[in-house]
Amino acid sequence: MIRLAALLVLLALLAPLPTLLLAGGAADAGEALRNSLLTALPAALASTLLGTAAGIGLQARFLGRGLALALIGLPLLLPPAIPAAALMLAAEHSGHGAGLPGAVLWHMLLGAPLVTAIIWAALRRIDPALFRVAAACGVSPGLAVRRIVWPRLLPAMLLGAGLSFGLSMGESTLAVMSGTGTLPVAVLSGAGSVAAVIWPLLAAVGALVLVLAAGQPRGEAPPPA
Amino acid sequence: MSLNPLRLGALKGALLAMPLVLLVLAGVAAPIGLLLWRSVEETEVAPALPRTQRALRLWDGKGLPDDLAFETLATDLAALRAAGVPGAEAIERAARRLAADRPELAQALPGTAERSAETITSRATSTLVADPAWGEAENWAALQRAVAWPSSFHLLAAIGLRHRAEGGFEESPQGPQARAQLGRGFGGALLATLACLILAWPLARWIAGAAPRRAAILAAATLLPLLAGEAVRAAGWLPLLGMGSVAAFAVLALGLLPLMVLPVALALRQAGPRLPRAAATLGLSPWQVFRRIRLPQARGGIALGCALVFTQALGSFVAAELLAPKTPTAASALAAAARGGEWGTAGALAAFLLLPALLVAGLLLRFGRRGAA
Repeated sequence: MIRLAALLVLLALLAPLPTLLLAGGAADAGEALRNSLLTALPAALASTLLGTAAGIGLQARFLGRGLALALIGLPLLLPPAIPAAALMLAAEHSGHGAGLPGAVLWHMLLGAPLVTAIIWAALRRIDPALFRVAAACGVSPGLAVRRIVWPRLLPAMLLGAGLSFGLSMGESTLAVMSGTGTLPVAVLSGAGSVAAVIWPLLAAVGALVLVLAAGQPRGEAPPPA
Repeated sequence: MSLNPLRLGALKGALLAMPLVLLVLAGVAAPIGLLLWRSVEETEVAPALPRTQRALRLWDGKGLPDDLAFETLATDLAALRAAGVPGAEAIERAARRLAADRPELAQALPGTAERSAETITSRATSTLVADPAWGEAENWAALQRAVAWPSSFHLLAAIGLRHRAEGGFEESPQGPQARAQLGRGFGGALLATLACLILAWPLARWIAGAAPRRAAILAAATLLPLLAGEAVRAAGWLPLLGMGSVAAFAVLALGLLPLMVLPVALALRQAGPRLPRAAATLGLSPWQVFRRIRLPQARGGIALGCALVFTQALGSFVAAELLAPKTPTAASALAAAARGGEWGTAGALAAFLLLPALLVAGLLLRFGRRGAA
């Protein structure tokens, strides 16, 4: 009963995506795709690097840690029209249009809290006893980091990068407001070839699922069916 | 020295988190501060009428201002006329701003400028005096407010009010529309949060209880429409739902559902199945298990989900613009103002959206954390 309701909700969530494939026009989406990639790739890269650094740094206790947490999470809790308008105003002040640099900045700040949370959780799962064991076995600290931290950090970074890339590819608020021709805007105006927006997304999320599923830490009690 | 390389010192930790924090301050907090600043700033009239601004600073607002004000206004308008095209544009901008406060000033300012230019400067004042619009204290008060700092005009206009010359507030001409926008924005966000709260539960339970691989696939499928973005979702729903404000609301609420499902599912999964199972074994009814065990377990996730859905719904305008262009919400009015470069209006709307959003989000997150402790 509850499973059926869940299935219906999931179907309702996914319903708008196939209709896009049916309605897709064949108009040129090359320019829009280029703009979207030019936004999403730097944004994903920057949010992964900065988010990873923050996720590692937040393991420590320091003065102002709560404030840092609140600020890092802030972009997710802002009504999106506000930062979009604010970035347009800032771009106007600096004498440029609110083009791609503003979008890169905003998408980066949207993705970074997700990366931070993923990295933080991944590092939290490492059993500190492993480091004592490594030291007792005469392993150098550098090797211990390579063998213990790195294998857990890398999938988390990949997951974060994939998430922020996907988020950035779809994020449309700033582009719609300022009229920048990215893929979502092209879809909105019915001009873009729709497969071009769906497939990178599907690919990103597909990779994500695999990393997520493969990255499940072994040895944990499997959740019951 | 600690053997754990992850146990960083305070300084190292702070330095690692610093770049992102600084970028949030520079990239979000500072621009929003600028936007909010514009809500109390007047930028249209004061640059066009600098002498009048100085003269009106001395006026106490009782009766009509003295002759000096008439003279300086005439001088300012004559200077603008003499400036040619840029001057005419400045007059038009100033007139548009004044007309938003007092509709009759839409004509009075350019009209006076035209007539005073036809006569010599020393007589220009008399054409001003002859215009009935400048014999009304209400209009002078509007002019004074339009060159003042800080100005409450935009903030009041966003909730449909205006100052009266004799003090106090009254309904502005755009009052009903302004309040309907805000009402649609907040009502929609509240309803969307409630709808998500109810719809999210079955799916969150499914994800929380599934085997790891299936849970990952289900979570990714839930995430997919969120990553597709609001524009893509709205375009995809359009052929299925058609136009209208109900369709726009459905698209908004369904689109934000993953933001509720995933935190709730995560909270339930972290809590594990033991407690509800034990409770059921001990004879609690399914309703009691839900009410006493699962709901408290999911509390943090529910609070986070509500905060995310409410704030995102409050600031989303893409679906509303595409599907219900005739019934703008506060967010779509904000987007329209930003596109038109009306930063005073945009700033005021941003202030009225931002403060409740941050307040609600802060309270919800606090509520969620208290449950976890």
